[in-house]
Order: sequence, then structure tokens, then C-alpha cells
Amino acid sequence: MHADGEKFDAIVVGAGPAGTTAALTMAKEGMRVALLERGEYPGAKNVFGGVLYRWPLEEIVPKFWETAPLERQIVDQRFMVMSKDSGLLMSFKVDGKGKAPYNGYTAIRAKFDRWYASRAEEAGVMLATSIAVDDVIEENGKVVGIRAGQGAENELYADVVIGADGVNSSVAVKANLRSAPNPDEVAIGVKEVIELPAETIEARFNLRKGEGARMETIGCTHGKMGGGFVYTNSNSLSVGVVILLSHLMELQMKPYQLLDEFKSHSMIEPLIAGGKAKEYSAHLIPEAGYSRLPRMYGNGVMIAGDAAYLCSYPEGTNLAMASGMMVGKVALHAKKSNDFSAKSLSIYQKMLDESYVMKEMKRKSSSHKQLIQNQRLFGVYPDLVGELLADMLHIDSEPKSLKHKRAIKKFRQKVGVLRAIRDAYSVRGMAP
Amino acid sequence: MKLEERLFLDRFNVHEENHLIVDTSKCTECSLKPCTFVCPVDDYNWDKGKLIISYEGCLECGACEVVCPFDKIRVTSPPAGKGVNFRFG
Repeated sequence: MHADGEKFDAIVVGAGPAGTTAALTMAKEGMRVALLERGEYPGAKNVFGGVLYRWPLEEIVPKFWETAPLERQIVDQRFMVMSKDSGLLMSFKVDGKGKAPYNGYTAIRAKFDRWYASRAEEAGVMLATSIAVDDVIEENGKVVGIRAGQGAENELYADVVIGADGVNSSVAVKANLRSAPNPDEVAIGVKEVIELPAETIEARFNLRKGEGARMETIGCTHGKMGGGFVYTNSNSLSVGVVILLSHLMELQMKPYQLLDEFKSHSMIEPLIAGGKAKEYSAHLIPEAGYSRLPRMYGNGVMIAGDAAYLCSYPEGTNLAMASGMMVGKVALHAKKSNDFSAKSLSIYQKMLDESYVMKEMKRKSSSHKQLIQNQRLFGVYPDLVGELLADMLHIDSEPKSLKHKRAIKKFRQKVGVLRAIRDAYSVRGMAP
Repeated sequence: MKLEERLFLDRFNVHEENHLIVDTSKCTECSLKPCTFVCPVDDYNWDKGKLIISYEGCLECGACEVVCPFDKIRVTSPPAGKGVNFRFG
């Protein structure tokens, strides 16, 4: 970096889905963009347990599925309710008929993010890796650049700075758009990548060649808000557990203890048996919800993706890319009038509000609060489901009518009909 | 699986300086000591009335900073691409 007066039109901090999308959107229209990544390569610091959806990536890189390093196309979506020694598994599959494009794909982020950032480089973006931005430079109440260490040689200037530096964003905090997260605003995810032959994965998950499954599980977090997941990659499984940090503090457990328990559960152990662990990772996931979203812009600055808490289980990369695209478009608009003031950038908020991103965040808003506060949802219900089904499906000399009576009594004792209806209604926003 | 085995899987480019900036002046007042259990790699250990901090296996998740009740932990970014480098992520 030089302090010799060289100035970019835009600096994007973070070469993940949000940042690379923003950089690409601007560079395609001729803006001079620097994309700064703190890792040795894009994806080096990123962790993912999820699905890359076709929208909005398709709008940015048409037919991306022909060239992007993707793992498996998701055809089977599974949801499991777990208790300590039982599991109720639902699976929904749409026959993809082996024809691209699919709605979503699994990906290895260290590969995908690198590929995606090189699309930005092709469009003229200057990508610089191993640069950890720790502060913004402000002049007369306007963000005019960034600092990546001490001294003038570590300063870089631009008309606009875009913070796409993830959940632990320095840009968002230093530009006073939000504070650092509280323990009830983020979840911690711990994950292992476990290697298995492709054929083994396909046999264990009932998949055709190249097809993939995702599995989301509740009931594996000691009654606290969170869950487990298994995602199928080409030659590996991504297996992990997520839990709200404030709830982990209440449990006083280590996150990898939850992962160990999940991996040894009778529903999971056979899926990963014989596999070879290849990587252990951890990351924070924004769980602030709609009511605690930060300010999205200021004078000379905007934020997108996880940095802006735009993440809503089980969606994240799609919201990051969509917000990154909007940030890019707003910057292009601001460039035309050469006005990067907060007033000029405020159209970003309007665009967000009218988009899928904010509508989805808003829809889940009240359910999200319930999930944090209502401890029945992740403990009492999963345990009850296991207990009642085990009793019903256990055949012996006892008449079924007695078992039914006992089940109803148990249900009334532990939850109650009205409360169950209220609970179900309170989380209606979590419906797919 | 043991934590040591897990950490052996990951690729680190270890920085000479500790990037976890911790002011331990309040640790004795802290009854919960959440840093000692939320850390996914056990980088914080309470030993004989003192907080022992290692940073070599840090996965840079930032959980310790979030949970510290006295706001005394800063997780800075290891400079120049140092720290953990996920090969899968």
C-alpha cells in the first residue's frame, strides 16, 4: 500500500461472498476497486456449514455452476428431532433428474472463495491478501480510508469504504455503525470436515452420483438455542454443532463437547463411521435478528453480509451476496454524482428494506426472539417426541389404549395443549 | 476425538506475537470465567489463581472477546496472513 496519494474509488474489506460481490459489481462498471483480505488467500479465515443458493450468485456470475468449484447439488433436505438416545428424521427430496441448474450447492469455502475472488480480479479488481484492516480513517466526520497496521505506509484511501469483514467486523465497529456483539447476538459453530469416498456418502445418504443432502438437527444442545448439521461434500462430510454463545455460557460446556456428543449419537455415528477427520474449525454466526440490526451506512461507508448481521438461519451467503450487490450498485450511483455522503448512501437502506434480504430478516423477527427465550423448543419438545414415540412403537403385552392414555397425560404434564399451540404459533416465522 | 488430534489437522502459520490481548486485572473477580470453556481450542486455562493464555491453536473465532464479562479480551488479527489458514473452511 502506498501513501503517495494513490486513491481508489472504493475499498472493500473482506473477500468473502459479500465483499467479492460488491467489488465485482463495481469493477464491472469501471470503478477502481481494492479488495483487501486478511487471510493468506480468500476463504482462509472462513467457515461454512451450509448451502450456496443459485440466487443471487447467478445474477453476478451467469451459469456459475459450469465453472465454480462446487461440491454436490442439494436434492435432499433433512430435518431431525433428536433426544439423547432417539432421533426422528424427516427427509424431503426433489428429483433433480441430473439436470443443472439446481437451487443450491454445497461448497468448500477455501476453494469457492478463491475462485469467486479471481472472477473479481478478472473484472479489474485489485485483490490484496494477507492484509488485516484494523481501523478506518476519518476526516471531517467522513470515512476516507482504512488502516492495516501502524504508519502512513499502511493507510489506503478511497471515496467509499465497504465493510464486508465478517461477524467480527472492524469496519462496522470503528465506523460506529454497531458495537462488538453481545453473547446473545452471536452463536458459535464448531465443525469437522470428515473425509469419506463419494460412493460411501451416496450409499449412506440414499443419493445418486453427484447428488447431495443437508441435514439440520435440533435437540442436541442440552435444551439451548442451537442445533447440529451434516452437509455432504463430494468426498467429505461437514459435521458441526451451533449454539448461542450466551446459552453456552449457561451450560458451562466446551463447544467441542457438544460436537463429540453429536458425532457419537446413534443417528450420526453410522453416517461418519470410518471417515478421516481433515479439519477442525470454529466461527461465530450472527444471531442478532431484525430488531438489533446495525446502521447499514454512514458518511463514506457501508456494510454488508455478516458484518451487517445479515444472516438468518439457515441462510447467510445468499443474504451476503445480495447485500454486497446492493452496496455495489449504491456505490456506482454515488460515483455518478460524486456524492458519498450518508444521505447519498441512504438508498442502500431503502433497497435492503424492499429486498428479499430484509423481508426475510423481518419475517423471522418474532420467532427469533422466541427461540432465544423459550427453552422448551430445543429441549422439552425434542425429548418428549422421543419419549412418546419410543413408548408407542414399543410392542409388548400392554394394550395400546393404556399407552395412548399415558402419552396424553405426559404431554399435559410436560407442556399442555394450549401452551403447545402458543409455542407453535410463536415460531411460525421459522416455517420454510 | 482429543483436542490435540483435532488441532493437528489444521494448518497454522504461527505468528511470533500473541494476537490475543488480555488484561488479566479482573480475572480474580470473575466467578464464571467463560473464556476457559467457550474457547473451542482451550486457549484459556485457569491455573493456580492465574489465567494462562496460549494462542498458537487459535481458530480466530472471537468468542473469548464476546463472552468476557469485564470486556478485557481483544482478539486482534494476526498480521500478514499469519494465524490459521483453513484448507476447507
